[in-house]
Amino acid sequence: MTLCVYALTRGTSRVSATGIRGERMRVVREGPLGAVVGALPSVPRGSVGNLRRYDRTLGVLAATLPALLPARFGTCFDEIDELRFVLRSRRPALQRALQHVRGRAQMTIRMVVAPAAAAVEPEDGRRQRPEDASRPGTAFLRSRAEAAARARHVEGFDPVRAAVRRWVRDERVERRAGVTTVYHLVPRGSADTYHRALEGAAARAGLRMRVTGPWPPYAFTEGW
Amino acid sequence: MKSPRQPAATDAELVLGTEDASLLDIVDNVLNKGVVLSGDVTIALAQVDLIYARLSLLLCAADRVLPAENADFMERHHHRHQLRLARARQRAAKPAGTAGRAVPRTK
Repeated sequence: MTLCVYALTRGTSRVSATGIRGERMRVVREGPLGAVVGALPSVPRGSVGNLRRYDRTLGVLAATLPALLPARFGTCFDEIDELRFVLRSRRPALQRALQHVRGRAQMTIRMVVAPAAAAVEPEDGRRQRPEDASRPGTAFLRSRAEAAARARHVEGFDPVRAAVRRWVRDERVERRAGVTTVYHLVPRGSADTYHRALEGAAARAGLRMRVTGPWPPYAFTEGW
Repeated sequence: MKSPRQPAATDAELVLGTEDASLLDIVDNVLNKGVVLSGDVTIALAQVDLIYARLSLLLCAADRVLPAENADFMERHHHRHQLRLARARQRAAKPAGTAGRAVPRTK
């Protein structure tokens, strides 16, 4: 048997749902943290059916737990002590992450931006201004700030971003295979309003995009 | 009917416009995102194991921790793995009680 970890939550949480193979899920508590787990005979294979079942399970959990960090598919432990050790060793970071996503959901916006417009990458991210020559620290920090701003830049998206700014608590931008994806973390109760405002702004800006959600906050689990 | 002036849809646009787009979201979320904890992660599609990693100390995916060193990281990992195998083979081939000798390091 192996323990499949579906998500992390607060230690006080309770679940009464079933996992991808119909197994009863439970919360393994370690101080203020909890891991929602299900006992499976083996590590689940990454079949399309399993991925859909996993997604549905996370959807059910997200609907009942205010703070939820989804675990990546396939995360399994042979021993409960090993899981407890990981929760203990990463406790401060995981607590901050849980607090960050509490009561919030992920909205996903995908759009196809012309390569020329998307490729606004700097030559090397370290362009120096003349006044920076004698202040290398300032120049370094400025270049980092400029690189971060460029990474967030999506051609034509600024009016849309401005229209939904009031709901957005965090944002991630990714570019892959010609598709630019913007992930927004919004209050769960505002997801519908956000969606309408976003589509209205996109129509006014003439931007073609596909918006999905609300999802559990999958894209907001990194860096903790 | 498409306007003749409308440019042909790219592959990315075709994927986003189909029913499979929901699967795209699921794969992106479930396989590509989420908290990575220590433990065994096996990801397989179509009966082929794509990833099998013992992540006992590696708390994030290597490509995220070491974006610029990814290729080199995997190369070094492979090199160390080969070296360990060679040493294990040498130990197994030796008669009991014989002193061990290090496998010469390869470039």
